[in-house]
Amino acid sequence: MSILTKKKGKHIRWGRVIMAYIMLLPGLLYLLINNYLPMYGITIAFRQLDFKKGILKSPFCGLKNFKFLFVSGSLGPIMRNTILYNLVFMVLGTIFAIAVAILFNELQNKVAKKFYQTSILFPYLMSMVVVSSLVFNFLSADSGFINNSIIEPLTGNTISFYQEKKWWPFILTIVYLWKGIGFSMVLYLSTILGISKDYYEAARVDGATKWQQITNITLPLLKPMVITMSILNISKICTSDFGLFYQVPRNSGAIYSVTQTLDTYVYNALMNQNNISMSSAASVMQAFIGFVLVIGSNMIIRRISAEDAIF
Amino acid sequence: MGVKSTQDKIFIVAGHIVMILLSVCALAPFWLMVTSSLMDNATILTEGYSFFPKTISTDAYAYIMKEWQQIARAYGVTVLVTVAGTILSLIMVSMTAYILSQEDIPGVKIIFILVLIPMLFNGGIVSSYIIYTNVVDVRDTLFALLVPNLMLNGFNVILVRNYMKHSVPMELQEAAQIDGAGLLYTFLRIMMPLSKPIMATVGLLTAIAYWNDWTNGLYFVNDSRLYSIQLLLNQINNSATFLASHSELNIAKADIPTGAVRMAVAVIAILPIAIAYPFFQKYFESGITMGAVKG
Amino acid sequence: MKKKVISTILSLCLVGSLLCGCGDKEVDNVQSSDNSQGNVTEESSAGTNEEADAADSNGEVEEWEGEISHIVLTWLTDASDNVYMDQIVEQVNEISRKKAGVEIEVRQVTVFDAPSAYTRWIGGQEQVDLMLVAYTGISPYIQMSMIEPLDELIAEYGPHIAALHEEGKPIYDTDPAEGIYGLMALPVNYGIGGALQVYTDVLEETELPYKDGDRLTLEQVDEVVRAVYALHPETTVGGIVGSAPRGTWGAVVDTLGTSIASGALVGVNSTTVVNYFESEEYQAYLKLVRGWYEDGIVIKDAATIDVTLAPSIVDGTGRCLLNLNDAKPDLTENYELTVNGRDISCLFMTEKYLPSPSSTENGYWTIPVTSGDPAAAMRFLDLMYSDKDIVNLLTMGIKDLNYYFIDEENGVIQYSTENPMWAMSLYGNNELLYLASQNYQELKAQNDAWNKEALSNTTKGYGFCYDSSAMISQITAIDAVLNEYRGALECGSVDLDTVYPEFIKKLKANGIDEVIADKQAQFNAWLAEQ
Repeated sequence: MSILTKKKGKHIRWGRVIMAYIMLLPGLLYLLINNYLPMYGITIAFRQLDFKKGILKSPFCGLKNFKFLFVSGSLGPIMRNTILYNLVFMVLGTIFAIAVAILFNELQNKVAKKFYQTSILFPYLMSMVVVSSLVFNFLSADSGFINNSIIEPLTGNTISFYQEKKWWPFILTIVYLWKGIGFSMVLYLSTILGISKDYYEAARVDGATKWQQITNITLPLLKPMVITMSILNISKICTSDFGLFYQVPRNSGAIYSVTQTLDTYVYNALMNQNNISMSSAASVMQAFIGFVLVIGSNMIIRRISAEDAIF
Repeated sequence: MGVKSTQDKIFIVAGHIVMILLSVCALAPFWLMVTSSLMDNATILTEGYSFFPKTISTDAYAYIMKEWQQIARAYGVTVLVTVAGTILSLIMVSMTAYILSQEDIPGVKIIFILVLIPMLFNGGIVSSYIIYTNVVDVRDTLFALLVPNLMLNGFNVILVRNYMKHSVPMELQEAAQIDGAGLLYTFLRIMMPLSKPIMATVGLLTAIAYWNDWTNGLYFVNDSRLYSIQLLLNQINNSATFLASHSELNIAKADIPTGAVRMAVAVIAILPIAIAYPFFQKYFESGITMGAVKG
Repeated sequence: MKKKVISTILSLCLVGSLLCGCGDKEVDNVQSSDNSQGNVTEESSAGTNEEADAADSNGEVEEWEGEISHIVLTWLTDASDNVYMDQIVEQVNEISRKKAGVEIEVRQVTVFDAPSAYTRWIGGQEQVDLMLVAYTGISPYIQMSMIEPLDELIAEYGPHIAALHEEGKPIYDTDPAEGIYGLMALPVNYGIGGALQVYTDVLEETELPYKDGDRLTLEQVDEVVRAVYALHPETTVGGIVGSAPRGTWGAVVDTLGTSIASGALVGVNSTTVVNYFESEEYQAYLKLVRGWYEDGIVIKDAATIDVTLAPSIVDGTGRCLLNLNDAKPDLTENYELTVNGRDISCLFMTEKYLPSPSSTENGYWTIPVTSGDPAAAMRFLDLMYSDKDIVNLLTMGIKDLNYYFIDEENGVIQYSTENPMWAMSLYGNNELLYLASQNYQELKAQNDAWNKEALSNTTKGYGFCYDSSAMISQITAIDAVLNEYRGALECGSVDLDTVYPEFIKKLKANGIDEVIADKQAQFNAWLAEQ
């Protein structure tokens, strides 16, 4: 009824609606099988698992599986790391990606463009294990490139990167940007390329400089994309790239206080246990926080500019 | 294009400088990866990693090439899965996203939220394993590599839907509707051609996701003929790490893949993409420019 | 426009054909598996013929007359699947059909992925009959009812297993009174003996008065290491790399069937559960290693490197003249093999002793709740502990392919250089394994001497297995702390004065004392029953 009234009496064209649902069918079916049916697995977090009875029939045990997260009181620093890194990555990642996409878009030389885009996508194609080895090749105290070829000849000393905390916030951020920029840049580039040339033409006729064109045309038109990406990133604020935080610092205990995130903590704690109830308890917590934050941020955006909210 | 202002030139020069810097940052480690795949353990321990190693050893490649048949096969599987998966995924994603961009259709908003929820909540691997083995049995088929998790990604749906909503002029659709065009016709004839930039982007992301995926193979494939290249390489890497932390294992008997092998393995995984990407990119670029909305 | 339509059609066709292709593929698979099953039955009938022949010529073979059961057995791989497995299974089945009425199917899984794969398989109700739980705790499996108790099955179908227990071999995961869930893969050498391994020629070069097999104090070990380092400044102590737990090799430590996170007995005669990380022995070890690190004898990256240095003995870097390891004769022999027979001396830091068995240092054979036929599984398991051919097939592979006999009578072999087989020695009773050694008599004597010493020197906790279920949250949190600190501390990479107290403080904050009290209480109750 509400739709009918909203559309000012326009009645629903049923043929169109049926067609729409036929077209939605494959996607919905896939979501049902791939995502919704397995969601009963969330209850594992609240169960005392008993495989003999089966996962679905195991008795519930309240919040017992969550207890290990709170026993030590080390959850505070871990959450701080997780959230701060994510915020930094979000802000820097967005700024860098947009800047690079805009600059890239200004270039004319096709061969050069091809070369640039291929090479900056390279790191994105590497697995974190390989990235971890590469970082080690650079930073190793015994045989690393930086120590062997730069620091030692200059100062006579070496730096044990893997034992010193102060370097890691920078190293992790650099690795993140280095690896991810080729990917996120492509996203923004596709939006920029979708902007009609007429806008720029008109602006040029009005005598707008390049900088003015960027601030007045490109950036405002990128806003929906930025907002979407930010909300999606906020939903993952309690999760972290396991490879980046586990493999790149090589699980070095001495630097845990600046590298440990919720995911690596859970992995380390459960390495010898193989307890899926506890690990799913951790992921339920992450999802719950993400859920609250997404609802919250979407609500705020809806207040400010309704058309940019993603739902 | 007309006469370029000084600011335009500054932008172009700055663009080149930044892009060259970024390219160097991306390629230098890659080069280091290649050189360290050519150094044996002894050289690494005595000389350290270097961009221009003094002694070169191809032992690592010899070690891997012992299993070249399996590697070649795994490549074939990966290429097939990547191509098929990307095409299927693009069809499903674009169709879903298109309908979701038609907000006048009743129920679409709820369905959009249904697409969003799985981005936050998932039941974990055990329950999806049960679904894909008991409800739909994909084990040891190509579907095992194609279907689970990768085919319809909420993130991609949002990207395409937002693009269709914000970047494709509504008037074109409305005009088509007035001409009596149905949803399918509008989708195929108007939206798809006009959404090329985002389709190219999402296609690229999906292809990379398929190329890099190894968990599906790990979970659902026992038949080694269906191993993808990434699964093969990951197994080698993970086991090397595991064995290194269990020195009590009878390792002396084992052929442990050492650092150079790991790097050689990575080179083998990336090099084909590096070679194929520029060709692919030609289509990617032309897709984007052809699709740029005029008007 | 036309072009676009065509391309759309083309791509649709492509998708269609791909789909069909996939479908066909599936059908193919189904068919081929049908075929293979057909083959199996054919083979088995062929097998029975042969069997009959064999029985004719050899009257003493007890023949299985019932139905043949099909069981699924897990087999741990290093990375890629064992390509000889089909042949191995075929040969194994020939024996096991006859002797136990069982044929096996092997499910290969990498040692790294095994724990999560097991959870998926059992959660997915898939048939797995014999499951090897290795290098992780077995108690989570028991707590989550993933595995069946074995007591009754052993009594009925496992005579050889029961006999091994009677002989005093540590084969059960726990005292039989507590309920058996796992059967330990019997190693060639029982127990533990931490030692510094040095090349004999290098040791002689130092002119120190120590020789192979001596017991040394930590000071004396330090003396040897420094003497070798002075002669060969490029030397690194191998074994002090990576995250392998090595801080326990300097003392007699019994973790009572679980991980060290819940406390341990220190010393053969101790009945007090203590926090090992607070013990003098551990502190002494840390000081020793820190001293080596500061003087450059341990590499700076030791805690974060992920290749073992032991193989680098092979590649001739000369940096691994010293090794800190569990010095069982068969392991040492294997090292000697990889360095072309160069003799290695073991200078022991502890007596050889036998602690309560623990799955974190070995493997346990278990029968999951999803077993199709637990009785058949146990019958096969009994063969794995008694049939020389089966154990050797599963560990050494195929004769004349993966290995060659040098001396068939005494079971002495040489690994094939073209087709070596990678297997962990976890498939049943390894005492039945062939020996890969030129001087097998010496090795046999060494093995026997070692085993005799270890088996007679059991700790007071031997046979007790701690049930950690009440303390699971604390132990998990403690595990996380151990993973954080042990690697760096035990490689000497961090300052002891600041980091060590922090480590101990964090252990206490996570409730290690509470867990130890619980373990002690259970242990006292068990002791009182003995």
